[in-house]
Amino acid sequence: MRVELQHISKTFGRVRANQDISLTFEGGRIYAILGENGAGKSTLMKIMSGYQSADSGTILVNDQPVTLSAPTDAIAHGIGMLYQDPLDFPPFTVLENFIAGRPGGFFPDSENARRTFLALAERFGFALDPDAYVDMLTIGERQQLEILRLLSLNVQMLVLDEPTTGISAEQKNALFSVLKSLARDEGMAVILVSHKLEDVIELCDYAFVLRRGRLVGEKAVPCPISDLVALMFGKVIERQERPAVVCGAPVLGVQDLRVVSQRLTVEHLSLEVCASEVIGLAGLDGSGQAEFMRACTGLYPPEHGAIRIQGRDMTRAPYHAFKQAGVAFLPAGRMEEGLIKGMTLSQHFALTLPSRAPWVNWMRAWRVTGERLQHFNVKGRPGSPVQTLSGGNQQRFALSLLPEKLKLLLLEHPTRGLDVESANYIWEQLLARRAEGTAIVFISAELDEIVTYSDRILVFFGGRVTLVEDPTEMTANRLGELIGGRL
Amino acid sequence: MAPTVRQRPSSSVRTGTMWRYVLDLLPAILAPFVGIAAALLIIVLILEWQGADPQVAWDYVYEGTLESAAKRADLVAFWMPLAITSFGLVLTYTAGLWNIGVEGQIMMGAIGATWAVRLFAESDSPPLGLRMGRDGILFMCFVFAALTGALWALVAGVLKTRGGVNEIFSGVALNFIAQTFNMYLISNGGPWQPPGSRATETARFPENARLPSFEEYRRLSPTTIYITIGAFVVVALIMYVSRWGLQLRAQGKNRKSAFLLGVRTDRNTLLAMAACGSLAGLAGAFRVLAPDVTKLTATPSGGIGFLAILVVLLASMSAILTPFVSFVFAVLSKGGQRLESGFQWDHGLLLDRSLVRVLQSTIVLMVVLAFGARNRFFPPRSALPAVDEEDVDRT
Repeated sequence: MRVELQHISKTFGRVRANQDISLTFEGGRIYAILGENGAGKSTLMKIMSGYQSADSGTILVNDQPVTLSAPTDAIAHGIGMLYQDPLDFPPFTVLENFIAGRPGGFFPDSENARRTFLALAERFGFALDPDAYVDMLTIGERQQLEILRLLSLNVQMLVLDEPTTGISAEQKNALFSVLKSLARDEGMAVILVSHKLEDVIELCDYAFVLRRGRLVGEKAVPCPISDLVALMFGKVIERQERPAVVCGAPVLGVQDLRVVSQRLTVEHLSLEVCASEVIGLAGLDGSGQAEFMRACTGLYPPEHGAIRIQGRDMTRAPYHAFKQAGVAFLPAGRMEEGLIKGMTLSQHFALTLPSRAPWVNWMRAWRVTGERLQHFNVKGRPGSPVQTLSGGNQQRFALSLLPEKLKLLLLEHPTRGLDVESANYIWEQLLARRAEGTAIVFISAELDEIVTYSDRILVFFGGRVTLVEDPTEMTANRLGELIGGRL
Repeated sequence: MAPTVRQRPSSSVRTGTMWRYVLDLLPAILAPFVGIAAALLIIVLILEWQGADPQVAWDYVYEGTLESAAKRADLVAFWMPLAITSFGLVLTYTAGLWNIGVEGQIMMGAIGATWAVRLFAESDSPPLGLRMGRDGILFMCFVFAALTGALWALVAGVLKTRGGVNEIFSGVALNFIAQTFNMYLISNGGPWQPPGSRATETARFPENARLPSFEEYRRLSPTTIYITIGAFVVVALIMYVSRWGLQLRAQGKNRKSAFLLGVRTDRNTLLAMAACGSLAGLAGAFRVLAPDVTKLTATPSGGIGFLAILVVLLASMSAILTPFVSFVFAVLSKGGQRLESGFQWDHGLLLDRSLVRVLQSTIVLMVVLAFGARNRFFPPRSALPAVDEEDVDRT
């Protein structure tokens, strides 16, 4: 089995997810595809498994060009993909899931399928009850089921997207030994898509590293982790000198918080944020930082622990109570949860300006809109619908909508998708607020941004949280290792 | 078109942009007309296929609704409950609430009004010893109707905000329950059926529980007209002047964003449902208290709730357009009855009862289609995300 990708490119709107990527996978080896969020790993794998089609480029299977327009095509060519979230039907039994997607007549041959299933399960040492219902299984067991299903379809290449998220250590060990034996003994090609450096070092023979849609390097594994970190994050600008924070009164107090997200639980999280402090939340997407931030603004109920705003207990208070207490939250999806498509800029201000009157003071809304647009350098007119603004302008506009006096500002990816100039402008505005005493907590996938602007850093990995008290001591490489789970 | 505009000298850049705006607007203005024209074409084809001359059909519609003053009065009597229900629906539909339960809310309003009649006009010992004249009794009828309609709408609202039940599903269920409850009250020896009667209706209301009517047009009551105009003014003020109307608009376009921007979406959902339910309840009261009805029947609403949904869709939730669109629908409904009887008596041609409904629905379908086609093929510039053009910055 030999799969070759030649000059694969794929764009989504303005985002170049993959740019001219060429690489080759041989049978009998285990490969890693490494990269940060948004580096283009998942897109590339979806193209290879027929889930999406590339804009340009060729895929060769055993030196024959193939067209993969659906996952069934890919499976017919021997390429099977294990998605991050198991693609099964929870209300059905293990066996029914195993049968689904198998070629066969109108009436499934369940006896035959049961024999195949049990034989495969025994061979790989998976203890799966064919009559158990899937919603009773753990994520790890559901993965095992999916692997058996793909193997029964005679795939020669197995792509696994973040397979070790949300499974136990024993399940991980079992998975890795099976993957090793598939490669060594069966001559299959195994591809692990991951950002967990430990897993890559432990399992893989060879690593391809993607950054911003491009293939930026490849390396035989094992190798020093720092080499992989350098490839993944590129050159990171070191922290510039900045006046030390004069810490004010405590604004946000988090005590022994436990938030449970879909895949993992973040526990024992305690933190005190004082006025004029900037806290960066680092970590790969889905490590619990988004849930933590939403818990701090009343949008996501914590399971345990307490949240205080200026010393007042606000645990499980509704969002509006946080808003009244001077907390503002700016989510990542600007048009999805922040701005209202189809409404004009002045309508946004009419909606958000505090007022006791039951009617809208359009004159005031119009005037304030003009002032704020100018002050925040938003290129747009009060009458423009908000979706006509470009990304950077939308972000500046969202900032201009925030109330003037804030105690705490929570931001998700404040500069995602913006060019350097726009990003700098956003941070100028944020630092101006900080100078007025607003505490800022932000999530970012950009290590530079975290290192440059944070007074302290909170690193999320696999349910654990590490507090970095002094980012001046922090090198970007060390941060990259923390994000990748190497303490 | 665009290249010729761009080639003009720079002094006429303003006219260039103006011209582009006009080009943008044109499909938007034409869309409803194209839709109505397509609908008329289909209607003519259906009539021809049924063997009815469209010209004669139109004459019947005209004769049945607009020709004589008496017919016009009947038309207005039908129009008022339809219009007031539509005004209520403008509020919920603007807030993104698909209040399908409006039919049940009308029915509950009719039941509420009848309840008030029984309590204050027919009972020998009214509650709190309140012996009222006609005005007081009618006032209580409207209050009861508005309250029962609002409560029925609030059931759907609470199910949505507390239980996450889509208002469409709860609305359909609540419509059934309201209809069944009504039948329980007035059929098979139900508590509101007069003793010994076999008809599924209450007894006629006493004299002092009948709406005043015009001297020469006995079936039309001025009261319903005043109340409907009042409701229109209130709804128009809410939609075009108030902060609450702006909030409803915001949450209708993007509930999540509106919530994060500080709009209390759950509270607004309940308020909008209650407001719509009370207006629908008033429509129910109009229907049972109408001078030519004055009793609770098996179908107090007569389907005007569903008709009002079509009205609001066709008016694309504009409070200003709603009276006109509901008027057109009233003409079609009343005219349809005359059309049916006219063909039956004069031409011996039996048209199906549901033909009128088909016509009304065809219009809505075609206009909605026309709007869809316009958005698909002539997307308005303002609805498009910024594109890389020389006059748009690229940050």
